Amino acid sequence: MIAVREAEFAYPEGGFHLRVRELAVGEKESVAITGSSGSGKTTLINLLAGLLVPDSGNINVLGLDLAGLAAEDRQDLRILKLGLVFQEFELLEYIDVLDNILLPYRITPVLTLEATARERAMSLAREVGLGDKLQRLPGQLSQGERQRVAVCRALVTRPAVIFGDEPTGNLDARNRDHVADALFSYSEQTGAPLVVVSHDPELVSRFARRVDVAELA
Amino acid sequence: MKDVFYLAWRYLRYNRIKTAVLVASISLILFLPAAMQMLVREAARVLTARADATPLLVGARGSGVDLTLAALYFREPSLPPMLYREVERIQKTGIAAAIPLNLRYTAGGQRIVGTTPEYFDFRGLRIESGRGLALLGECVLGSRAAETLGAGPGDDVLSTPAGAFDVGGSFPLKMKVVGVLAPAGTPDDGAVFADVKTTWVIAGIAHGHTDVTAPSASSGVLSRGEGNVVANASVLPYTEITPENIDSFHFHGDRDGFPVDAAIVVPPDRKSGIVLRGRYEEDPGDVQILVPRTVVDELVDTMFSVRDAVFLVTVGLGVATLATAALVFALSIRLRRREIETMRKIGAPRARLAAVLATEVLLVLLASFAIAAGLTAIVSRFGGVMLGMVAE
Repeated sequence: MIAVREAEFAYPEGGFHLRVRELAVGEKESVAITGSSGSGKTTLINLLAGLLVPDSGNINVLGLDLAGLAAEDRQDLRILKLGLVFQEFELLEYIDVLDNILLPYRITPVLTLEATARERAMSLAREVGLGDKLQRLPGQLSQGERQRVAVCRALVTRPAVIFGDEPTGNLDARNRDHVADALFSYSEQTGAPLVVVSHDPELVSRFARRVDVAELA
Repeated sequence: MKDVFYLAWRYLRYNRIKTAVLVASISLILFLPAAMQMLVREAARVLTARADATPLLVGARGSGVDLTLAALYFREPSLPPMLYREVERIQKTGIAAAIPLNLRYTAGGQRIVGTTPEYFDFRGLRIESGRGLALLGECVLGSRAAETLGAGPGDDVLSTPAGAFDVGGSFPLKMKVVGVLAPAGTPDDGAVFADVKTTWVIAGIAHGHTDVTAPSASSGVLSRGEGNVVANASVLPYTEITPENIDSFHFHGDRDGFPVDAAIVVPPDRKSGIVLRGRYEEDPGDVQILVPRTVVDELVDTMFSVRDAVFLVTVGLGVATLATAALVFALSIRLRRREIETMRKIGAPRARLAAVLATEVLLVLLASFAIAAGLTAIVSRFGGVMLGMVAE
């Protein structure tokens, strides 16, 4: 489902160069990308999610060569097929939990907010223990609850691939397990591969495969 | 588009204080110049209409503006009074009618207008309840004056003494209300009309008192001689004119020498007016004759100049306000950079994000325009009433 071959990327301002000789992630597979700070973990995830475009080589996600896609098509791919969870979960403070989960439906014309989406959002919220907090604003939630909302937002569109960039970086152990459980559970149920950048050994130990970004070069 | 409006609306609602301040500032900056234009136009219309309906004014020499404001809009007279003989002089010319106005006194804060019954015909004033002036000591109230004083036909209205220590006259006089005028939308609505002789009673020029020749006045009589009676200070002037004492009222002195503040001069045609003005210019004496429209035009010109100056200041403030609003929006976008970046990462097109931000601006502007339009409509509808209240 994900295949990287001879991909290279350098930021225009220079100073950093990432090279990935080969990386393949199959259905249901969970991969933890590890490495020291500044080794390029986040850059790799951004390349896989189509947020960055490689200077050379090939990155193929769900059968699509990301470098060959227009920016608009990569946007559509992200919102329709990819689920993204960030360390800074960045919820919108002015809309409630339910609307934050449904945010992908409100920010693109390629998705339509229908009753089924609402039901799915509520179901996801219940699964992560937020069923009774749907009408609350993010400011009324704890850090762990906020990250669970961010996970629900990533999963509400039924993505075919899940990417996480330090998704539990700001959480305590209990909340970390909550969030990880939700991601693994979705991956197992749908077969969506789970690719997460993390330097948390506890979280990394739960993944079937661990890849050091430095070894990919 | 529904989702774009929803997100924009939720953002504005969440930041309601910031939104309210922005909307209020923009509304005011849109409303103030429009309202000012309207009020000045309405004021000019009202002033001009009243002046147009008054061919000529005669009053003591001095400021024409003061004379016009007193005679037409019942402002407190600042010029000394002229003598009643001027009124009779005009009448005697045979080329114009003169309606005296005595405006020195007030009753409950409302101007007492001492005049003659011709004034009501001249201004086209109609009695709504009760009857017109007939006897000394009676008054007819303008519609707003009746409301302010809470009085109607059959009630009494007490004139306000000119000064608490004025021992020379101006006793408070209890006047009988005999009628209330229909609203006219002019300064007449706020006036208390009385016969000019009644205002002379208030001035202390005419009075009535106990008949000291009657046996019942014996307590105040010091001595009686042939043809004269000497009385002490217990013989007080009446403070109310009644059917029983009206015959005792009398004037001291010659009526020609009694004061009036102005006279409205009504020539039958333009030519007569020019002739009369010519006569006054030849022999002005202590009085002036003027065309109120000329004076009001000067006033209106001054108002327009002030309006233009204020308008320029308001435009400057408007530019500053809009620049501040733009800065607030720009800073807001800067503060929301991470939120916007997250939405973009999730897959939001730039156009959709721009639409959300633009809609926020649009909603603030729409709300501001709506409020400004509402306020302007109120001023447009009630501008005259507001001016009346300000004038009060």
